[in-house]
Amino acid sequence: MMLLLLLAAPLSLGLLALALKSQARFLACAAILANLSMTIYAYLTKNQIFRADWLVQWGIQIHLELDGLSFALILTSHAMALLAVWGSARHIKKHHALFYANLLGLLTGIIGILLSFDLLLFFIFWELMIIPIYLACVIWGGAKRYLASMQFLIFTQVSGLIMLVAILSLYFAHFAQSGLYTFDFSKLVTTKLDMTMQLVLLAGFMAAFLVKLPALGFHIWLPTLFEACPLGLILVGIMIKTGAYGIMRFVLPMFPDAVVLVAPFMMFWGGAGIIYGAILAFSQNDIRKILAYATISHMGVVLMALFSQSTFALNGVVILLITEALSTGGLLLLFSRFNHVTLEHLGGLWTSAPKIGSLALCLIMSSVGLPFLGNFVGEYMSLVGIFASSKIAAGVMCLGIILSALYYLRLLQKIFFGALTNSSGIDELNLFQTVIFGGIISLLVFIGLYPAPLLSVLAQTTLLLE
Amino acid sequence: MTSQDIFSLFPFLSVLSTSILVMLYIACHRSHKGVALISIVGLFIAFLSTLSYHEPKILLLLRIDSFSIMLIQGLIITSIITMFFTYEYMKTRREDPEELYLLFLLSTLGSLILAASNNFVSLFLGLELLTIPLYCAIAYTCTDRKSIEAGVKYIILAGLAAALMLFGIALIYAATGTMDFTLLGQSLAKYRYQTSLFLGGVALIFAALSFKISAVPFHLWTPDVYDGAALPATMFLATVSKSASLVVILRLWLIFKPHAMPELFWLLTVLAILSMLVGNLLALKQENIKRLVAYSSIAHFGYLTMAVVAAAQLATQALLLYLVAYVITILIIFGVLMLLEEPHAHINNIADLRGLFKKEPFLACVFMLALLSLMGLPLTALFMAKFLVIMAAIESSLWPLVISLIISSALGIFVYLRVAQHLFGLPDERAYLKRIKPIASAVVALLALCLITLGIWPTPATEHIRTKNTQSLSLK
Repeated sequence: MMLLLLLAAPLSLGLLALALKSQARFLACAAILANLSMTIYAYLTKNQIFRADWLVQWGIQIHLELDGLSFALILTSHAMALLAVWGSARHIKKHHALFYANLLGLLTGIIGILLSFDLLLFFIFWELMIIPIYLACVIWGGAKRYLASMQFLIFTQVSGLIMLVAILSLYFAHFAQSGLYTFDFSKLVTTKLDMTMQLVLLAGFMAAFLVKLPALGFHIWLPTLFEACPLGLILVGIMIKTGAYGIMRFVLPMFPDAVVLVAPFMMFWGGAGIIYGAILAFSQNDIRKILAYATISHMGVVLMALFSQSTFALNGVVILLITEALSTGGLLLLFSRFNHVTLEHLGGLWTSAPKIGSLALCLIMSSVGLPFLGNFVGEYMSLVGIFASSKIAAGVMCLGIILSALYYLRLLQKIFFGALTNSSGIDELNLFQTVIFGGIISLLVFIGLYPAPLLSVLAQTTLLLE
Repeated sequence: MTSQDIFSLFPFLSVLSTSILVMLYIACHRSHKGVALISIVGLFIAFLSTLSYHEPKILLLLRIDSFSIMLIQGLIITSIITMFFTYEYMKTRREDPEELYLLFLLSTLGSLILAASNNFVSLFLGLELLTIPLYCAIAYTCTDRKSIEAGVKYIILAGLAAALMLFGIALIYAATGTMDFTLLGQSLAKYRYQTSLFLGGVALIFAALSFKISAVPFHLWTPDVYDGAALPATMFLATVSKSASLVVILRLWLIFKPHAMPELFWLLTVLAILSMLVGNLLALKQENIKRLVAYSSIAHFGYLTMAVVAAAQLATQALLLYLVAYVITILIIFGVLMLLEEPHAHINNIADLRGLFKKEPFLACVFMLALLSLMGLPLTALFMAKFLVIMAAIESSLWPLVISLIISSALGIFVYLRVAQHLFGLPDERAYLKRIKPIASAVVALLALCLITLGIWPTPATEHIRTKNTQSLSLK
């Protein structure tokens, strides 16, 4: 019941915010905090499973489970949502209430994805999550918003439909074996499939997950969306983790044999993504695009680690996802204070805004993978797993880390050092804002120094690779 | 014919007598409100009389069983809603609106006969009774050249379709010696007709019906007629006329299918694939909202034909749920357009909807919901229905159809998003002066509520369809 409340609370409070109009921001904050505490409460009291019938005649259930993996990612989503509420205040010029309602709707969708253990329910949340992002882009977006929203929706919808077909094929395959119509993941995972079937279904599921990840070739929507939708950025940061989550939760346990077969291919793909993203990030002049391609490059690492067939690396992936969300989200928030988004118009800001500069330096160091900072733990654990399965892949990943230092340092240099351009006015952080960014960084440091609590939470994950 | 038979025909008789009453009333006294009221009340009485249905009756021409009663109820309700919007729309027009109701009533009667037909004779009569009043309804706003053009186009092509239909019926009669569906089914079970006479007849009949649901390659009239006709006629054509024709296709398919007719299967598969792809492809770059809906309807009837082909138990549920969901969505789309359109400011291009979100937030939200439903996003009725259609197709392993559906859906998203984006654009100077009456908003809200309810909790609807269908099938 608690878990159902987790879904219902943000949605209903969002609608309330929409109805009240005023106080929407406060309501959104309250809703997220309340939901956060409920999540922790539900996790600590072991109130972790919810089952109810929905459409019995087709075997569709509302089956929610909160295990270590979902718990960690849901906490991160809440933190990101809080940051989004806090950071968006100065950018939202119109439809305030709708923005916060939309944000809460997105949060509901993501919690739904992370909790669903019924494949059809999962699919429904997967598709629904798209609408808030679409609206955010169309209503509050910039110049290229129509193109971006269209690309985004078409990519995600089509890949989603392919996944639906895969889900349904699995459903009928399971029926053929057991005589039971069900979309319940814990039952479907026991279906015995031959190799061809596994490969076909794996391709169907991966289509959806690779688009969300995004992997090389499926990434076209991401830079456009980042460019068009400065506010949506943080929302996208929340959303993007679901692709990796889907692979980890569903693909790896359901198609173990096919995973072994495609692993080298996926690792190659991930490696190509790392290099491609890094090169493009290095050659961009738009901050938003640099961050978009940096994300693509980092997701290459994630894809490699996911298919390295080591539990150690999978844990690393989760830590990487969490720290990546924090560090990139923090950077986005910091950079959203600038009046310009292209590097030509920025420069020498260190003198006028030393606080922003030093905070950005810390976040960038974390993204680059400096030891003692959060991302390092994730990258290290992934690297160990990848090294065990392929040394060449590990080499490529290390190259990716070096390249990330290159493009991030270029970004840092161009913005904060060199000659001060007169057009780059900026207002420095006040104490409260500094504390919040300080909080993000200390969280990263904490994970970097002492990841054990996080790992022990992740150890309580069901159905993660045996 | 016993008195009980007459009683079971009450829905038909009450629609018929309403139309006679309306005709006499117009002859005595012209009153828009009065005619609209009589028509709606008459249809409502017909609807109430269907509720008293208790036992199946198979007459010479009509088959009144639980399944056809269900279809009749759906058609009557759709017709009532169409008339309501017609009333709101025609109030501000110069033309005398009264006869339009008469035409709609007759057409509705035709659709009811079509839905309950049990014989090729009643099928043809129903089809003509459905179509002929529509010729006039399409050309009703006769001061508008486009309207006349649409009427002429429709009359020529529909006349051709009727001729094909008659020829097909004649060929089948020549091959099998019967026009009765029940006897035809029995005779098909006994002898396997694979003669070219019989197959040709079947092909001609399906071609004629494909014209009615505007399946590719019989779709050429659709955009012109949707665009040219007065909005009420378009709405009626897009909902009542097309649904009744589709139901007939399902009925005939269920008769012919058990007797292993691969030719018919391939015919419908090709029709479905072509309709899905061509419909949405042609809608892609369409600027005119009515033409866009017309092309997209071709694609949606492609999905529906796909459900016909997959016809298992699940597919009938999928088909009818899809039909209901699609009709509700189209009623919302055209309903909102009818409420917004003013006599001297037609809404033609999708750009005319620019800024609707600012000016009429409620209507814009409902319109957006309808667009999301057409796109097939979850928690809307068309998603649930599309899900069932895909499920039925996968169950029958119809992979080419599933793949075409995915491609077509991708195109569809592009089509509907182009409309949706205008809703959120900045409004231009054009103001909607027309005040939307609360009751009109209430009807639109009710339709939207149905759309969401069917999307979240379709069980009552699908179970209803399943039980009625099983009862009807067990009747044989």
